[in-house]
Amino acid sequence: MNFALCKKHSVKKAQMEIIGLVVIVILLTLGLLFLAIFKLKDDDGSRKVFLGQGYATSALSALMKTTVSPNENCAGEAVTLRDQPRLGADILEDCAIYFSEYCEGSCDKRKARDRSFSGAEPRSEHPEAYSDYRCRLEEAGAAHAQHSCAFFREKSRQLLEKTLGKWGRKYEFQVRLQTEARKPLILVYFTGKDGCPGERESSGIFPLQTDAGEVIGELWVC
Amino acid sequence: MQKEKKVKRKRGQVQMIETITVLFVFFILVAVGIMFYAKYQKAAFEEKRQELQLVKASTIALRAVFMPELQCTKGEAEPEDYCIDMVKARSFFNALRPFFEEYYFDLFSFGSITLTQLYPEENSLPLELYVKSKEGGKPITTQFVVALRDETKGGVNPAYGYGYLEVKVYS
Repeated sequence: MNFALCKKHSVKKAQMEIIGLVVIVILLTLGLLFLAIFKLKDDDGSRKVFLGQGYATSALSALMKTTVSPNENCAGEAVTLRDQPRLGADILEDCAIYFSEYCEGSCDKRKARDRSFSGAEPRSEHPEAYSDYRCRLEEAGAAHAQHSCAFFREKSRQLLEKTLGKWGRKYEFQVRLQTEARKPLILVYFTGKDGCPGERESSGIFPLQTDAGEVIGELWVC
Repeated sequence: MQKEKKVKRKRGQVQMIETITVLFVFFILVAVGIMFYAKYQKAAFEEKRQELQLVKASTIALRAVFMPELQCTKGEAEPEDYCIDMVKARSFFNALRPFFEEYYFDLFSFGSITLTQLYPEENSLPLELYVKSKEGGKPITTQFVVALRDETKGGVNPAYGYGYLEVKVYS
């Protein structure tokens, strides 16, 4: 009888020891799991890529200073044989002055944003509307001369896509016309892949004084 | 009595085996944990190394853009930011190559800097500004958009092109 009791006692002791072991293993596993969860949580998939100081500023500055190629045949009263217009100065100024005719006089900020210029030309745009500069987009093999607004939009998109877009950078580009009389008018707005929804670096504003008002360009890179 | 002694010894042996097993399992778990942590740290270090290299490449790109040897200057007026003078750039490599080792290596280290024009005329070959190769190193590349001023083109005002600097840095 004593022996039976002893045996029972031993079995119960062994069971307690096994439970102890299991508890240790569970605790260690849980510890490792929590460690892995916390460490992996820091990397949420959107790696912060170092952009460097002045990245967006230099891109916009280069874009605005660019001289249009003679191959694009920008005709106009102000153009001499030698002096080609600059994208960010002459072409953009021309676009600002003649924007209302180009947009049927009914363009406003909300409408411009809704249309999202990346697609086909919206109905209320008039490509045949007058502008001093009418350029042919060389790479597109455009048969017809384009309004300065359309040319500026397409050329700037092309150049930004060849650089920022090609390097996998997301960006947003906007040019707006600020007048005293009304709310700012968006002349140009487009984004690279997915735009810049979160943290982004701004180029700062690039102002241009024109007869139509102050034209402000801004580029965001993320 | 002898039987009791025998039972006690066996119990003691079982206890020892138990303790040894527990310790063995514990050390295996610790070893597995260390292995996973080491692998994770290795990946983290590699990512940090790449980030630091990218920072270095960006710093070198900024140095090149703001160097008087390449920057667009207008006599005594303030020079233009983020602008490369093409006349200077074309002669940079040949004229200053003898000084790469003693002077420019301290600025640019192991790597290369090339200038590519995209518009108005897309260059087929990029213009090499600096090169100092290193065998066996892992390079990291960064690009920086710049305006390219060319006094030889354009009329009264110089023509500005659109291009980029490509900086390659070796670890």
